Amino acid sequence: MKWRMPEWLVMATPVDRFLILFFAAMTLGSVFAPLGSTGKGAHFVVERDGLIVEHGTLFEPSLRPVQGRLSDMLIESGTPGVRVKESNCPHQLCVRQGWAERSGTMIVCVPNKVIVYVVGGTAIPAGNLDAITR
Amino acid sequence: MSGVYEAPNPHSPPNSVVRLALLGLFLATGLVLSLFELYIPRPLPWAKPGLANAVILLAIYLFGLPDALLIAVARVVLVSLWAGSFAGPGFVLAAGATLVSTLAMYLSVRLLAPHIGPIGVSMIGAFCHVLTQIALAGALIVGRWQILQLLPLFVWPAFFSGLIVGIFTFVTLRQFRKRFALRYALPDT
Repeated sequence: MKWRMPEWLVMATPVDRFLILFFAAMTLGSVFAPLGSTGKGAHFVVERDGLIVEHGTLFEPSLRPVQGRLSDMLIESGTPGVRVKESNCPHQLCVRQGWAERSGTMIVCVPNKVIVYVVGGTAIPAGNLDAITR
Repeated sequence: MSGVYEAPNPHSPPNSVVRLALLGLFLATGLVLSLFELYIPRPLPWAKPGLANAVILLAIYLFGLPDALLIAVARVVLVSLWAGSFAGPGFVLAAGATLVSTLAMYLSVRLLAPHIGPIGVSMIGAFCHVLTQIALAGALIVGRWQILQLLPLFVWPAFFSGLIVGIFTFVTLRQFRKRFALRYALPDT
């Protein structure tokens, strides 16, 4: 059986086809290229309304409740990284974002005005060691 | 307006009576589609099909920017009144995104009209909608650019929504073209 182009693709002009391909590439690229993240992080910070309300290390597991603007949240951290385990916000976007482990990555809960991000832990640049190592 | 019935003519734009009737029809259709999207189960709760965008695109092709903006604004306000989110943060995001995507779609039609079809225009509209929403959420609510990391979650649905809305608009516009002169030419196929 011969493959026939679907009618909507026949109707599309070259510019349309370019745009479809361009946005498809952008969609795929955005999935595989996390923005601005580096190596595995060491600590996590929880901010609410721009104030730090909770922070801790990723080297030992912990489970901390955080009072969001709209609902209570449960932040779980450990060797896989940090995640929002539970939240009562409507879309559950923060829960679905899963684990954040790389330094610089961030989990955002817009209704709760809470952001959780991972810091530190990247490789120390050579020649930039602190006073104690000298 | 002469008061004499004039048969639809594929060589002239819709007259003022037809224009008014069509604008009302477009707004009503857009409202129904938006309200429908509020209540259907969605596998990704933050993403809507955005079918009402088709109505704005139809208005751009038939009547131009002012009428399309009128429909866009009226639809956003009425839907938010219905959903109870009027003047809340969600409303600011939705209204800003609708305005920006309407303008982007108008500009791409205006500048590229016969070379770009409704499919391409609607893809541009869908992506502008998503990008504006994230940028507004980052600037007004979270205050950090790192919210761009959410992009993959939003870009996927926008791709399919743009494609489907574009196909739908193309099919509808080909029917309209048999009765009225469009403001901007469709690609000839």
